[in-house]
Amino acid sequence: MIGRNAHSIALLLLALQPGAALALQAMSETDMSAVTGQDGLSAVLSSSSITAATMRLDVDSAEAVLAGSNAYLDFDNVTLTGVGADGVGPGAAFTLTTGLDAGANASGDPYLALDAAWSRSRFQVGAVHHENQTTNSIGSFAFDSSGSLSLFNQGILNGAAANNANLRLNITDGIWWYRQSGSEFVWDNMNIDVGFDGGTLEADASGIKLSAARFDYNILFDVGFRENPGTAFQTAGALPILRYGWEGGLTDFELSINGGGVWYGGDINNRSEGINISFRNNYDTDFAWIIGDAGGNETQLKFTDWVNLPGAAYALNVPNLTLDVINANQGPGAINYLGTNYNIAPENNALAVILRDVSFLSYNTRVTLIDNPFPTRDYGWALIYTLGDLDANIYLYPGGLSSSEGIKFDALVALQSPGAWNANSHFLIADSDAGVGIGFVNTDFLVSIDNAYLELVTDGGNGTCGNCGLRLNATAANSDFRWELQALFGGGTIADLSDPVKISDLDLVLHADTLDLLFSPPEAGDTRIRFDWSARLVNDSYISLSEPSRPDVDFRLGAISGDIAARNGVIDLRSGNETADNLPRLVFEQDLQFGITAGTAPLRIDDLSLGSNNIGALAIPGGQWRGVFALKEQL
Amino acid sequence: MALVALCAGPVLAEMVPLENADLEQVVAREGIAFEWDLRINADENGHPLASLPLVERRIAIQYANRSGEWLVFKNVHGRINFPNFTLDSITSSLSPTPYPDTSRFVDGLGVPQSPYGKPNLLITFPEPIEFYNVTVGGLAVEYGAVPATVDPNSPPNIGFFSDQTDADSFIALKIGNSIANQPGTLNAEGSMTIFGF
Repeated sequence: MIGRNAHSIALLLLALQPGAALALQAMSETDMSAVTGQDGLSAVLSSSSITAATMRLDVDSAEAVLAGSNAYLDFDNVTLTGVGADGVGPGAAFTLTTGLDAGANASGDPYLALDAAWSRSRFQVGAVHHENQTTNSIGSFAFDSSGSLSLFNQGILNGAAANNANLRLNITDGIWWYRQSGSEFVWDNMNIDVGFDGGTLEADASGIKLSAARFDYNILFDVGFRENPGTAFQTAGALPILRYGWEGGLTDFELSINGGGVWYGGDINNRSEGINISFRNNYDTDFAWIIGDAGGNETQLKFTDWVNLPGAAYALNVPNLTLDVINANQGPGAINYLGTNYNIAPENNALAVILRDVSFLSYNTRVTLIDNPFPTRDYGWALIYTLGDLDANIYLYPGGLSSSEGIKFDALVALQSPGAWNANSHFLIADSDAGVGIGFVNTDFLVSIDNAYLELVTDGGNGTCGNCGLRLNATAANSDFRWELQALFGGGTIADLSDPVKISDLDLVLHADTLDLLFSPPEAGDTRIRFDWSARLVNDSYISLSEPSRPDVDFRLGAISGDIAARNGVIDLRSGNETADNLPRLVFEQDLQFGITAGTAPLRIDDLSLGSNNIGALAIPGGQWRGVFALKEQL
Repeated sequence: MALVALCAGPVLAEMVPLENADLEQVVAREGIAFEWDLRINADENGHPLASLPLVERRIAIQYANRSGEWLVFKNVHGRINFPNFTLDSITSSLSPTPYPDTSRFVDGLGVPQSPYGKPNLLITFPEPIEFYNVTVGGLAVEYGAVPATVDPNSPPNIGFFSDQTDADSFIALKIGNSIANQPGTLNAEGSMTIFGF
């Protein structure tokens, strides 16, 4: 299956202890330059291209429930080749150097050291699809990088000697492209330094496990978009969207990679073949989440000083992330949301991403704003988005709605607040110096989206990007979107929300048979991320505001139907040199359109009620309401 | 940064003005503030958007048991601007006034609650709220059932689309400033505190 075009695997050097004489060829000077003098084993692979026509992931060959129904995921036209900076010059030579050395510590305990380093090279996949959907593809991707991986342990996978492993991965100036229908998303300037000293790396019957008291977690990249580039997989012409990443350390880090895919009959121990992953961690004092502009003067926000909700053992806990290739109608079954089971069965062979019982119970307490040339500011602000209990069933299929390349998907995501306030889901903006926040407390929400498509689109331009970007297209005849939200709108003391300030209970169901959402990169020379969306609501949608704890005493906008859309939407971290008062702002703006201004169906609220008493109906036949909302510091 | 010695003693060191470069290093207080600008069918001066036909600048209500009769607010447009409002916190007083009526403070189930010493959200409007040409061009009653979908370029003359001008209206409303493109302002002095049970 794997065709190999290694015309110059130039050197495989085994510098072992002297043994039987072999017929050896003289090394070239180029090859010799890659060898350093040390004991142990060193292997150098030098090539300009290694290719595979197809790499196939084949699971469930021994599956009892679906015997004989193997599930396949094919990766076509796979290549590994050397490349220059910014994606230029693929096909160049590259080298992979691997060293393996044995030694011992002062106590005589044996240790193994594995070091691998690769010169700048590209890993590229031409198409991804299931074996029964050969004319469609999720798209193609490429990853350029140079880097190194080192492991030092008492044995390679040895849990008997805990806290003796050093593991580190470095990637320098990585670039990841995702290409679809001629346009590309780019993750550029990617620098990664992750790993630990004094951790544990082990394997048991279920899988591989890593743990460390501190895990260095430094990842930073710029996200950009290339509209209709003339040449694939380069960085020229990319419109910068945002900078994103993390720096600092995770603590109490645990990662487990195990065998076993989706399960049957609600029995998580009855898994098919596949992979399941669990991880959890806290945040060290130097940890920061970074987000900002990748263009302009590169205004950045760093969210720092993370604290857990009281009693939370872990900031992030993902006990069950399951990745699997499945057949139609295979899956883990329904998700129970507030007592009701919801399910979307995969209608075709799919790539499944399943999450269960995810919690995120931490928040930042300070924000640093880097806004050159203005002074760096430090705010006592918190952006709180805790997750009490998150479950998700996501199924991905190859192909767009009107294109052979794209991602069709079904998704069911349920976030719930399972218990006391310190284990629940909250979405608050808070002043952590004052210790108070406002927003949604004890939140539950459900998002269900069926037969939707993720597409990279262009308006025909070549880098100008009027209406290009990432489109969530749920406009097919069988598309369906449903969003439920149940929360307390209020706030209070963020250190103790057991007795929150209660403004109103909010109960919302928005059900649309079409949803069309487009995220567009900033136009050239700009930093504003743009968005547009439109939806047609069907009349089981409602919004209910009620007295806290008394959902029957509500003001209800019920039986909502019709067209609604947002145009000219902008999300912008606005630099001080773009504002009249030289103060930075986080700005959201959109033109909200109703009824026949948005489409052809007047927006109607046919059930306007107070409690059980119907008041009447409300209609917004058309209109455009522009809203600009900005978050800034107090003067 | 130029620092002034505040050490004890009857005589302070001679004070000198801060240089501009030093001033740039001074960071303002850190509380959260918001801006909200709402333009209903309108531009920045509250004038109706030229891109919106008159028939797309209306809101209609229908009373219960009056099916097919719509009270239509026509030519609705204007801008309301909240240039600055802030979020802080405060704790309500720890003890009652001389004339407390604790029966007023009950939770959703009617159980008496204490309002004292509770955290309150404190919202302040340090700058006036601005009204630019906030207008309801007319109010009229119109009749008939409207189809679920219509041709947006030629909506049928029925229901809340019946009269697509504001000629048949019996009342209108405008809030603004008699000087063109200047806002009428509302000063909301003091603060608003919010708490609940």
